[in-house]
Amino acid sequence: MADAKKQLEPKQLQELKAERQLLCTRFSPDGTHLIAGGMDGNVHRWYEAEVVMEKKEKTKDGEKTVTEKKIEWQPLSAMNGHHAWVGTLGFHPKAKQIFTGDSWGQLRCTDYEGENPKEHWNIKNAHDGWLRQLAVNRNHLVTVGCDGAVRVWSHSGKRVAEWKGAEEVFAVAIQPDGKRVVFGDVKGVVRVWDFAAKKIEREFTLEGFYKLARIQDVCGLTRLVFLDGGKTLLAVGCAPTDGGTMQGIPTLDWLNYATGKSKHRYQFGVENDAFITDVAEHPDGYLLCGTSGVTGRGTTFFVRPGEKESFYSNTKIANIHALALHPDNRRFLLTSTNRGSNGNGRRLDKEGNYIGNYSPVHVMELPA
Amino acid sequence: MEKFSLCGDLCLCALCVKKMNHPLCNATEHALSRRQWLGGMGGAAAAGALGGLISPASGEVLKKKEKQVLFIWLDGGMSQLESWDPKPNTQFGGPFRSIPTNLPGVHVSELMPRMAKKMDKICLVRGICTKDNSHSRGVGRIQRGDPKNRGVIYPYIGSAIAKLMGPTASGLPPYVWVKPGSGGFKPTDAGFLGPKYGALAFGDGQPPPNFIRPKSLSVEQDAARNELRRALNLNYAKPRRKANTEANSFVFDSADALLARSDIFDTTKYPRKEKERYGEHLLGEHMLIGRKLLEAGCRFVKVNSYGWDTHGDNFNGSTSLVGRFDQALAAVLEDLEATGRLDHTLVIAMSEFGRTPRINGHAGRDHWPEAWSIAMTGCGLNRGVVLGETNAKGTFVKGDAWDIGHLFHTWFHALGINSHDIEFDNGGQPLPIAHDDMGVIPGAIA
Repeated sequence: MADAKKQLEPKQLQELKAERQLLCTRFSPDGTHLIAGGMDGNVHRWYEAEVVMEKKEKTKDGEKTVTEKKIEWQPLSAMNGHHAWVGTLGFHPKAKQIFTGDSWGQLRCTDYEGENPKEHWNIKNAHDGWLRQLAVNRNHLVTVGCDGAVRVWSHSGKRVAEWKGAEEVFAVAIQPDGKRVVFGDVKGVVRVWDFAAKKIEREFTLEGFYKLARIQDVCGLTRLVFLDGGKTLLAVGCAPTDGGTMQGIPTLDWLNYATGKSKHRYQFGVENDAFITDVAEHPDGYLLCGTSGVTGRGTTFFVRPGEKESFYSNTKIANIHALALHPDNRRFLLTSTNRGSNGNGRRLDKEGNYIGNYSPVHVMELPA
Repeated sequence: MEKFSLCGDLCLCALCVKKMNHPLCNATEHALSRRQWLGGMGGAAAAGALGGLISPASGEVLKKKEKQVLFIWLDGGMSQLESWDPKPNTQFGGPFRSIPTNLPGVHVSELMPRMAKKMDKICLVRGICTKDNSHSRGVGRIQRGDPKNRGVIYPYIGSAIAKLMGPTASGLPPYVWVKPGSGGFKPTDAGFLGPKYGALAFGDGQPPPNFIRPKSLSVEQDAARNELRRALNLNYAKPRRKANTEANSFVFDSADALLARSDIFDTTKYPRKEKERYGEHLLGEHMLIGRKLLEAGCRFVKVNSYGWDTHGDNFNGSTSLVGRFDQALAAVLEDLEATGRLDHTLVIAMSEFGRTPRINGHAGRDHWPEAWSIAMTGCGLNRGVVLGETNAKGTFVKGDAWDIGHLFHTWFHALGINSHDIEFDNGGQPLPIAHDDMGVIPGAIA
């Protein structure tokens, strides 16, 4: 068993460091860039570079210098222009541009390559307050927010359609054929919206993804993901058990998209493990998942649909906020918060400054 | 020097009330055991009712403009950064915007849109720096005013006010507590003052079980039963410690006083619009009950909300927590002001500490007593003022910092109690009512 786990063990290729905490993180579609939204209102970037390393080797005549090529992620300047938290991003399907949304409701479109990327457009009040998530397909960009609004935009930033309800919307996905938008709110209500016809076609409630803990709405839903070409809708997050120091069981629910009924539910770990914050679907049919719990808990696990147990897990990386698979399907990234990030005491540096936390980005590689 | 004693301040004279004799009520479901006297039945004292708008007793309270206190306790620690002292777009500022208020130059978190329109009514202290970052010690330490250690357990602020000011003319219990969870009489709040000054807690906003006289029991039967109880109680009290037996009697006597006001607890009869205005959630409902208890004449009303210890998911949590607090607080202030009660009611909203500027890995904030905020208003306080400030990142207090001892002095002075001259008398041991090295927060008192 231990050997089997060892064979599956991902290898860490590199650890990137951002001085501040990061939220969403993704590889660009061509795999050359790694982009992350931060709590500092910046969009942090790295690019894939081939680094030539020299090392000395002993020969019978003495020593010779040999060169070795290695792929490394090198930092680019962070892009400013947002305020507060940049919690969601997506890539333009044709151009080398990214869409980013922040917690003050701003939506931007910028280039992501080079030292001085150009901004193409920005909408300061795309939402009134926290723009929670965005989704992109070949024709549209969809955003959801704490204002209870779901908005469809063209890639050039023109508003195409809008739906507004009462509850805060947390997650969104676009149906693979692009005709409908699916979104989930704070109470786990999922709606299927035909935005061209301006009609909510149907709605269903995710079982156990919401709890009213005293006076706190505890939302368990973090992501909605289409699988099987749209036959399955995966609800990702947790089944909350308490508020305050929020607790819950990390949960994946494979739903029959046509009926909204659960086909299979998988729960991982214990109440302190809380959220599955991010997932990626591997072409081999399994999911890579990352969790963030209290206090400083985090797990990376892999699970196949329909199975009762994950086939791999480890707790080496704390508080995973983002997980993304590289287009080569071998490499993946885990964005976390530094270990020891919790504590009530006043931690100061040598100069007496109050110390904040930061985010390592772990670039990992799956075994061959 | 003025001194207070345990004598008749709180005596509702029920022990002396002559009531008609009647045979013992045999209804077992209503039988009162001595164990119940000593235990949770103490809480029975509180059931009351707001029949109509203002009862004669309440009218008396209003006429006399007796000073009262509404103490809103957000247990676990509300984040100052997501409420009263936002630092948007800074390292520790979190995801939310700040919004302007009706007090020029002052902003609060966008999660408090209703209170933003009422900041001209608030005395906001942003320069709070206390000493304890643990719940277990912190709650008691804060609510007892953290005085110098003199080897005694000090009373909570509610018990101190009950002792120092006694009940209002309504005769209703002076220290009541509306809270989620269990209720009953909470004598430990009183510390050295003795159990009589403890809190009468309405768990889940309801009087204790069997408190309200059931319809099957006639007024005469109830009176007879009480008469018997009093007789037995007197006999029981003779060889026992006065403080404990007084507390027992007090509970039943308070129950008598509250019995006429049992409609306070029947929230199904509250007007729908009023409930919506306060918020149809636990805190909204309890705040509304709290207001009605003030109107009924209780001297000190504590309204408690739990679940503020947001070590994880602080920001999603704050959206509903702070939002609902904002709604309930704005509603109660609006009503207190509209009826003129705000002028003689001291309102305090606080926790045991604030929350860390540093955001932990689970998007939470931990405990932070070093720099946090308390909001207060009403009786004796300046309104539309912000006292003290934190630095640009919100990590520490900039300039003068105030501890809970300063706040106790301030509250006592606002209520007309000179905390420098008046002392508790603990069986001959004089004890300051607030930290002897501290004083009133400058600029707070009107």
